[in-house]
Amino acid sequence: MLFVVSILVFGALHILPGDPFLAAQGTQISLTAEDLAKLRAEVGLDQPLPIQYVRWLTDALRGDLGISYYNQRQVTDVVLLRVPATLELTLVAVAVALLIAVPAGVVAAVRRGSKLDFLVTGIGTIGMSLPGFWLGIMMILLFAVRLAWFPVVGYVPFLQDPLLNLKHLALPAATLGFILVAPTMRILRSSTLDVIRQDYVQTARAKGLAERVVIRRHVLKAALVPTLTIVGLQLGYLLGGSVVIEVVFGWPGLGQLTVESIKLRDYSVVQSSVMLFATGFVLINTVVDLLYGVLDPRVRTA
Amino acid sequence: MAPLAPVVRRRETTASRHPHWTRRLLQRRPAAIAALVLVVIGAAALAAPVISPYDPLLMHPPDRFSGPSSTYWLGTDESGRDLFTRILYATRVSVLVGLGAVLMSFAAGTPLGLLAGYRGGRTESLIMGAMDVLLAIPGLLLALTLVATLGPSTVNATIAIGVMGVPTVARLTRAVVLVERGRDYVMAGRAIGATGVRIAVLAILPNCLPPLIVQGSLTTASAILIEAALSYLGLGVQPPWSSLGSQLYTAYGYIYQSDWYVVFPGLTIFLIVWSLNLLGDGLRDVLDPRLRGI
Repeated sequence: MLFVVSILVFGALHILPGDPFLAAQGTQISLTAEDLAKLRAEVGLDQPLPIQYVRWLTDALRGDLGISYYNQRQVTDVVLLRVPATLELTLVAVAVALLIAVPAGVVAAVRRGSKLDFLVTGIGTIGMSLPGFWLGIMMILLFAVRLAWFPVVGYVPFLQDPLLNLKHLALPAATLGFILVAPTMRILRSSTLDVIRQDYVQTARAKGLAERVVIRRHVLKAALVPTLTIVGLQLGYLLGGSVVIEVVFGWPGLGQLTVESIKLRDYSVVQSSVMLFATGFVLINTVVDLLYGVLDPRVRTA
Repeated sequence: MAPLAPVVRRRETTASRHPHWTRRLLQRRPAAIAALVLVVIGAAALAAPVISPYDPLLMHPPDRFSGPSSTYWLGTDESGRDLFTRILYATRVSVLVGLGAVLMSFAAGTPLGLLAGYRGGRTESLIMGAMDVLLAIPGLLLALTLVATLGPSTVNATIAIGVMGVPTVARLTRAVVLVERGRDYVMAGRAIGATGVRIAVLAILPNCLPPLIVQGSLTTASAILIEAALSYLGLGVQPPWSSLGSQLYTAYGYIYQSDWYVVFPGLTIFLIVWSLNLLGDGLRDVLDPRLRGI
């Protein structure tokens, strides 16, 4: 699968006109036609496409992603430098989202039709309709510009200054988390509604278990399985959404790098970071598939 | 004449017990309000030159960054242009790009899903495999890659968003076709010797419409969101045109000068998308009760 994706991304970025060196040229000293040809030969851009692809792939599998067309740095270094920031932002956002979405979704389903349910469903629809970057801008406007509780933009590595790092993290993580809350809550609510009508839930109640135990042990466990699938798929959107959020908050992650590189026509960096995103996405969904067995014993034999 | 009367009356009673789906839709308050909001925004955007006394490009520097007032309903931007007028014109661009993209998704996705679901076998694995590849590049990144390939422009952004929607539409169509394919009427069609294409297009497709209509409203909502994000990143709608997303990008640069400037364009996007989502939920309840709650 990833192999096909790599052909697609590579092909798409190479097939169309637009010379990366011509774009890079604008910022550097002007180059003569011979210089340009020499540069192209140096990175192998004068070779036929399939050869370029096979070269790139074999190098990539060995951990060498080539050099940036823009500033001639090793792409592997450029890309890996951005990974920690994206990982930190995404993981904290997912944690925030689950902490809010799981109780909210279950309570809404258990008290179906109540005011609370109405509120949760309403917030869910609103959350799905908010442009993530606008929500980010509104957060900045309120909490950073007006109230000045948090810094506006920027990033400090955790190891350098943990407290300042968290201060910078708060707004982007809250924004990204809220975007993920809405779909998760909706799915959890509807799958809880499905489970709650099952016979075995009645049985659990009949043998005298407290309602709280019934919900937590029997309902939530079963309802989490479909939710997990959706969360896995939603993570794709989250990764996409993180691109815009990173740009809004000046968060130096992979997403920001991708957008910068697209503007600079730095294909070697673009294709590497898109491939990295796709790999992460496929990995997450594989992990989700494996988690089924842990959560739901019925899947284990299958 | 006399025998006709009861027939007519009976039709009236069935009509009142099972009103047309549009009427049932409008009986749901959220969906009805959403439809109203969409109509108002749509009409205002279309009639922008009539409604607004201002030229969207006319600058009025002394009045820059003013808040909402009776002269400037939503305030002004960094050059003293009327924000209300600019939002109306930007809404046209945003909605046009969104609708164009959705039309593309459906024009490509529906036939692909129909073909995959009806033919099955190798055709199906090939088509659905291709769709899975598109889905493996997460969300916005696919659009970003396509825009990187084609170069940033309004048309290319539309194409990129359109391509993004194709797998969703194709998968949905295929899923419905798989159910419909086993129905008796398909068998009947085959028995009277109808060709595969005829059955697929004239018999199966109309029965797939309800979920597709629902999806259409939801896909438009996400297309408008993606357009806004792309334009915000400077990779969507390009100057001299401006969409709500690119307006927000400019406005963000003046966040210390004016609050309203970053609030209103985003609020407009949110209102449109929220209405489309509510309308989609309402449509699903009315047209496709099987999917309720999903």
